Amino acid sequence: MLLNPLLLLAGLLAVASPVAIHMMRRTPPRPLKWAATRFLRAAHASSKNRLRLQDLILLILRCLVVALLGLALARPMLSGWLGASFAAVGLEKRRAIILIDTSLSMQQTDGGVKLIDAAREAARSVARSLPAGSVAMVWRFDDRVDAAIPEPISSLAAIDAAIDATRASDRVGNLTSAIGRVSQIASPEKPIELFVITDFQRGTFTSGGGLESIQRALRESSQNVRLTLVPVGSMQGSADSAVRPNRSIDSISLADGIATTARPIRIRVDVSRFGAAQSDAPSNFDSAMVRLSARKVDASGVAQIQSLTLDQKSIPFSLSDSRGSGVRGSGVRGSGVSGSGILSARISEPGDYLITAAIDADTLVGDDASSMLIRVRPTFRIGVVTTSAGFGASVATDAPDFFARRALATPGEADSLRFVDIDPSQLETTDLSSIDVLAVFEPRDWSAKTNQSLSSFVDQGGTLLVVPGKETQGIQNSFQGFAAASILPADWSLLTTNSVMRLDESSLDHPVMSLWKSPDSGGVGAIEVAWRLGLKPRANAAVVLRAIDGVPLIVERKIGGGYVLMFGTTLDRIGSNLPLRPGVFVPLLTRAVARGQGFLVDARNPKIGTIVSSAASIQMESSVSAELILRGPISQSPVDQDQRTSAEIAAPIRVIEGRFVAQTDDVRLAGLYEWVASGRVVGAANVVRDSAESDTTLLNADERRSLSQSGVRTSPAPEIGRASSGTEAAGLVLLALILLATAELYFSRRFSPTGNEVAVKTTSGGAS
Amino acid sequence: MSEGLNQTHSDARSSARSDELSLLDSSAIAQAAELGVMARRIVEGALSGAHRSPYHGTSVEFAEHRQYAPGDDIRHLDWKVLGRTDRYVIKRYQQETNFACHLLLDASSSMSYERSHGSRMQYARQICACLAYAVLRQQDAVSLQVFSDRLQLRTPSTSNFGSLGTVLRELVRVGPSGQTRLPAALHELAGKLKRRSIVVIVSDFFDDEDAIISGINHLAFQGHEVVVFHTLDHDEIHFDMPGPVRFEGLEDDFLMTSNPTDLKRAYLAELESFLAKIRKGCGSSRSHYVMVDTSKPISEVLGAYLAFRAQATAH
Repeated sequence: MLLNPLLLLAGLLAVASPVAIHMMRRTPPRPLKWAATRFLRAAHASSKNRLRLQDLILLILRCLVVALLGLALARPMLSGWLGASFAAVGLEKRRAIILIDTSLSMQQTDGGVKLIDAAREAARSVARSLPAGSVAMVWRFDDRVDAAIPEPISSLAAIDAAIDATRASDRVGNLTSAIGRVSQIASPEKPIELFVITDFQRGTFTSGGGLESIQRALRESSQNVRLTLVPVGSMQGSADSAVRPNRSIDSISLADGIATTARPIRIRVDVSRFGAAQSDAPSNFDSAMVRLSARKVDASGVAQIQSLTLDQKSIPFSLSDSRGSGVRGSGVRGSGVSGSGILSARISEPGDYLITAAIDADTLVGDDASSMLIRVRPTFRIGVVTTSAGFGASVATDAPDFFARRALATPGEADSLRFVDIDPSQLETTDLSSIDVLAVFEPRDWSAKTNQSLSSFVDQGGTLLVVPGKETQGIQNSFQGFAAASILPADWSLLTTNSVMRLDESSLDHPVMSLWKSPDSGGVGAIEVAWRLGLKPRANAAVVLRAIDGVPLIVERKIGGGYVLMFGTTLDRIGSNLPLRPGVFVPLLTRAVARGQGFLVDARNPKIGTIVSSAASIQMESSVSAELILRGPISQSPVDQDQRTSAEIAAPIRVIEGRFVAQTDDVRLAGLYEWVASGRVVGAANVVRDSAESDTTLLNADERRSLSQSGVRTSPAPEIGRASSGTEAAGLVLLALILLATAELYFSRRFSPTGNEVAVKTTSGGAS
Repeated sequence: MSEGLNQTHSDARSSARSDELSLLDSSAIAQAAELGVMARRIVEGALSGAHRSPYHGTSVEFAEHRQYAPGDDIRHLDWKVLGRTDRYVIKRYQQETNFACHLLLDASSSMSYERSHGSRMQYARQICACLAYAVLRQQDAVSLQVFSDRLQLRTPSTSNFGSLGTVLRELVRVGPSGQTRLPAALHELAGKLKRRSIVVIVSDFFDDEDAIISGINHLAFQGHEVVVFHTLDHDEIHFDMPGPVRFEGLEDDFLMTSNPTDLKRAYLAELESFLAKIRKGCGSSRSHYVMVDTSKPISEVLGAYLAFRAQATAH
């Protein structure tokens, strides 16, 4: 096998060069009249064969020198017993990196063995297969690279210790970035043999730019890095599109965005299934029984007051066959199928809760549970500022707040969500401290004092909803005084078009709208807007929702601890058909109302791999040190206890936007963490894993072939030391090259310094 | 017109004279005159002299004294002068002996071999000229015979010193041509010579060595003393030439392109075998063999030879 076969071709072509050089350097013979021809003739007759042999030897030597040079550049590999014996005598010392995949998928159990355990065993085999005198580093990778042994060492004991200490993380795998890191330290003088021990999960190879990125990185460092993939798991020899059967909980979220004690909490759970049920699995693989449990997280840390089975529900997957080709549309996620369901739960005591959704453990237990940290409130007060019957309203349903009130207040649950009516004229004098959310319908002139009062309200964590009225002229007139309000997130103009406009379904990234990113949630495309304002977001404002012509329909701005959301249309039947679509209208409104109310705070539920911040500002005391400790994860059922060693991560305290915040992105495992300062718990964070790792699809045959064509070798661990790995014989070839070159020099001096040709022409055989 | 012709004739004579004189290496001639040519064998002669002739001569005429030099035979010291004046002088005689020396010069094409130090033919001419001078100087007879593919008598045997010019002119006239037929020339010469003589062969001997030895044996059998001057060039002897070289035969159409280094060993082996046969043949016929390297000064070659002959004759 050759690592650079093209160079061998070049080398073989260069074999012609000695002949060409010889021809070019040939000295024209000097004519000489000669008397003693009889001796010359005799000498030539007796030397002819010898001279021919000498010429042949020289030609062969020179051709071999050039061919061997090409061969050395092509970096040949010796395999089989020859390579093994060559390596065993220590003639070729290698510089290797053993790179172990520690992504979430390595937590799988395959054939009764955890892949990470198999990876450790494979790593030890690789270390022992290296020739005597070699040095090695042990690195691990998921979506980042962790050098357990950053410098090459030859101590097998230290290498074993680093391998034994390797644990799988909950992060996604990204081989591209890992190879990039290796390429940085490799050089032609110090080439690296890279052994990647991985489960061949497709996502590991395709994230970070895909296979092309890996191939490009290998091409750019082909002289420096030689990659051998060492597969672990029993399915490595499987056919195309092999997928290990796996079910996962992709996400858990508050469906309404509101969590109060008196009202059932609607919790949305997304589940997926990859691969087909194994024949020996009796369970119904087309659905998943999801169980909810709750643990209370109090101010002094994480204390399990109660572990409640809140609800359980069997969620069917949308499609029954994940292997069907051409499966598209709703329910497809990666190579699997997905489903979602709403589970209800009641929590009677206010406080912070870790709500966990779990399914039965399968081969990959790390994705069989998912949690969210929410704040459950006793009540939720919404202040409503509007005219009694709306501007020009003649019937109750024409009131601007009619549909909104009914959407937010579920019948019979009024205690959990209370409306407080506020007269617009009394707005500037009303105490808003007891109000959580203030909804202003048909706003009129605001005095500076009103503006200041509302700013203070929002800054202290309140949420302000601004909904325009239905009378166009009236709004235009009345808003002239309102427009100067500095807390508004947008300027506006009146759009005179009467055309009905639909909503843009392609930009639903805002947390309020993210619910509708899943196809199962029904589309917002059915909403038609008949009347609207042309909102123009101000600085620091974010667009929540747009119409398909790109004009924002809802704009949001964060001020201090709260949010201001401004609608571009009315919430009655005139402005749009939104109130007539309760499947969209109710969750949209509740999520908008709950925005910023701390029920489910993104900062407290960060994705693994991103920055985990201490959400609340830290009360700096003299006893508080300059850093916080993020301690966890606090184990949660039913995850594998072996893999979840609790860690403590020190995060320095920094001043960010005037607040003291500690941050770290060094979290390896998902789960609940405590922020600890001087031994005292000051907060909690729930780190959420990335659902991409649940897709257990393996690299298919075409993709493997593509890698193989890029010079990547695949060799099971037991064969590393034998045939598959091979031993690079460039050193041996160079040695032979030197010997041959020396021989060529010797013989060329001994035989003929200027080339050797004999040509005899004689037309007279007479003696002279 | 007449003056012009005379002038042209005068120039031609002057040029020929110059060529003749150039054949006489002054140093070599001096040494030849000093050492003389001493016949190692008894030669026939009509006159008695220093040579042990079977025909004891009657006239021994004192010619002159000269200063004794180391190497001179002390039998020739003039003891009377030594006793009177305490000076060492050698007595010189005229007509000590009278013998015939036949110079046999190879004039084949191979003798035209030429390098920077001169041609082999020129070197051979000089050898012949010097020997002729030395022989005539002591009033012995000399003849010049030239051969290539046939034998030519160029000058008859004469002891008249004045005939040296004739010998030299003939030497100048001889030009290399034709192929070497030395054996035939030797046999022909052996058939012509009636009296025992010294036969000096100056040749490169590029011919069949067995036939050459046969010819020499023929002469020796008839009682002639044969002296062989084997003239070879330095390159021919050592074959140390930078390559590559295209060899072009002087006597045939031989053409070879080769690197001398590659052929050196085999060439020298062939040459040595050839020389060994010639030497052995000469030794068996009691002929004197002299290897002449034409790159060396002629005085060195002739001086060594004549010194050797003088000592050999004295004993």
